[in-house]
Amino acid sequence: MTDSHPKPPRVAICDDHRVVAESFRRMLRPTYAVVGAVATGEELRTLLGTADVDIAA
Amino acid sequence: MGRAAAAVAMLALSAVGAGARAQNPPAREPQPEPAIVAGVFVDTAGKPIAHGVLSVVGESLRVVTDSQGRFRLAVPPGPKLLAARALGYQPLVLTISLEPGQSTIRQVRLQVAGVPLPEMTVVGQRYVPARLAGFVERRQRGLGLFLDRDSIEKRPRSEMSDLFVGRAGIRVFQDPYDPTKRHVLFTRCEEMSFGPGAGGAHTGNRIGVYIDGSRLPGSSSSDAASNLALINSADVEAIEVYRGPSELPDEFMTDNCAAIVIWTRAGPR
Repeated sequence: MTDSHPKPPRVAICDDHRVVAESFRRMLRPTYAVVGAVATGEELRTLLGTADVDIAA
Repeated sequence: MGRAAAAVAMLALSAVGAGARAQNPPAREPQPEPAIVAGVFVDTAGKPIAHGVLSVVGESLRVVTDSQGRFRLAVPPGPKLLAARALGYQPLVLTISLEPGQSTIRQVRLQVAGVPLPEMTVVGQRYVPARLAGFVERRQRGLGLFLDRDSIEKRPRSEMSDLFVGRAGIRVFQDPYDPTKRHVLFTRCEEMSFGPGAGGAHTGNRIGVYIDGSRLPGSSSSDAASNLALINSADVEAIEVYRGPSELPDEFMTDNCAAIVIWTRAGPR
């Protein structure tokens, strides 16, 4: 039996420009579940360690 | 007399000698009582001059006038030259000759020193960050619409897309079916997409919105409007708008028909 309402893939966004990250967050919803938007690789590493993420972009 | 008694006698003698020397110190040359020069520095209108300097020529004696232009200086008696100086005034030399203990009061009147300065031209230029060098260069080429901080501030707006209302070649309007949505359309791109010769096909009505050199996702007229809505116009230093392929510079050509390029004051953050 398959789930008729599959959960959207969970995405983490990393961009050093707040507006760029926010724009991607807006574009990806609601097809994707954006779990967070961070500005640096270090912050992304922390996010990946704490949240369940399918895609990091 | 034992050795100890002899030592005591010698000490006593030397003490007497020392006492005799103390009672007769070497004669010092008597210092003459100084004379006093007091007074005020004034300009030709009689206004006091503060921070003026009066000094004895050839000696280290000097005094600075107070906020009321007043001074008081003790000088050795006899003929002396006094130099009076103050910033912005012609210096003046005074001759005095005072007896010991004598006082004199002088009004030192200084004339304004007219210092002719060569004529100069001051050219002001607004500081432009290095990352905006491309903006300046493209504006000089003259193809496109360019808004700098001054022109952004002059235009009344509630959101960024309002900056483009009423501009030639650009239409900003509310979506007729979704009141939460806006569109920023470029008429030249519309004609290319749907006009004669386009064959009805949607041939590249793509609008690129860039911020600090990064392209924002989306390319429709509503994407352009919603991307603009993310930006606070108070943060914007400069905007360049290319309303069709003929205006687009290579940097923003890619697959765009039109482009809105925004440079923030702070840069990426």
